[in-house]
Amino acid sequence: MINKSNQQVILVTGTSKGIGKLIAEHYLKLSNNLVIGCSRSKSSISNNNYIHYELDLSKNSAVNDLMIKIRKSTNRLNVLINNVGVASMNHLLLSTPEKIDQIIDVNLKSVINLTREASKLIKKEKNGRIINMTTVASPLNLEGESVYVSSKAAIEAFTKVTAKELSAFGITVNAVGPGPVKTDLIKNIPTHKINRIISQLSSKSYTSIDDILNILDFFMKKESQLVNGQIIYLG
Amino acid sequence: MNKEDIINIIYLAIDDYNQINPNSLIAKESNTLLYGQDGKLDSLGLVNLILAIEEKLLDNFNKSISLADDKAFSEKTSPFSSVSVLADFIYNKIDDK
Repeated sequence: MINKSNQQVILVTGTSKGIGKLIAEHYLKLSNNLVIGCSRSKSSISNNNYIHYELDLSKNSAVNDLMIKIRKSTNRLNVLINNVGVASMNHLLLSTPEKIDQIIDVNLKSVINLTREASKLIKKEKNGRIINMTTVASPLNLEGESVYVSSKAAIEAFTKVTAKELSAFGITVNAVGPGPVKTDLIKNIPTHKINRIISQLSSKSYTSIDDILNILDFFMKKESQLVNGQIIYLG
Repeated sequence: MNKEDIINIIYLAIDDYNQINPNSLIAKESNTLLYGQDGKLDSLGLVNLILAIEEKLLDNFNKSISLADDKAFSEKTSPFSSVSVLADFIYNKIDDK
């Protein structure tokens, strides 16, 4: 076992780049955290309190492999941040079956499977936390993103139902829905389209990583035990 | 892995359950009723017991099985009704592999 018993063990998915990497780095900066990350590519984080596993979470077997590795290495888990996700900005009629499968497999199925397996470990700790990622595109019902928005709407429903199912085990489940964040996920979207999304928000600006971290910190606070089944949108 | 091993795994899981439910202890006997009529477990208790058994099967025998599949809930007699019925169910499930 490599973690100290008083360390908080946080599993973040999709940590090779973008928001996931910044989330992992944020919790590594704070004292007393052990961060476990995973992605399809090699680790880009170097820190003694970071463990990286290279795997494709859209495959059912990868979820089991990951949990077996965590059980063997730390055998503890306090927080799961389901960050991994793929986006596709395409009209339904232009979405290929392969792309639809990929979006549902990564954005929905992997989250459901990992939440199921990780909860078995998290329930052994007090004040367990599961945090999912959604998007403002869901409440805005953005056209041109039907499959992506559908996968995130499903995540929001999953968040609310699992909040009820897991509360008996002391686990809260919440989600944060950022507005447009300057990451690879939106790099191919024309600026005028991003501006059109931003114009529909209450606060008309990009979401920064600090905005997201603020909500994650809030969900993870010990005092947030009654904050459960909530979706917080940014913007 | 024989039936006695499986009974022992169930008893270990019952130990876990009893530790967190000292006011509702479950006897470690083969005829103990677990779930359903006169059973000691409510639905949440059943979930905890199933998870504990699955974990101990994995830890002690490297067997990764899911006990609560569709088949389990469609059988005429619940496989979770008593310790002995559950042991038979697990034994057959592992034998299937």
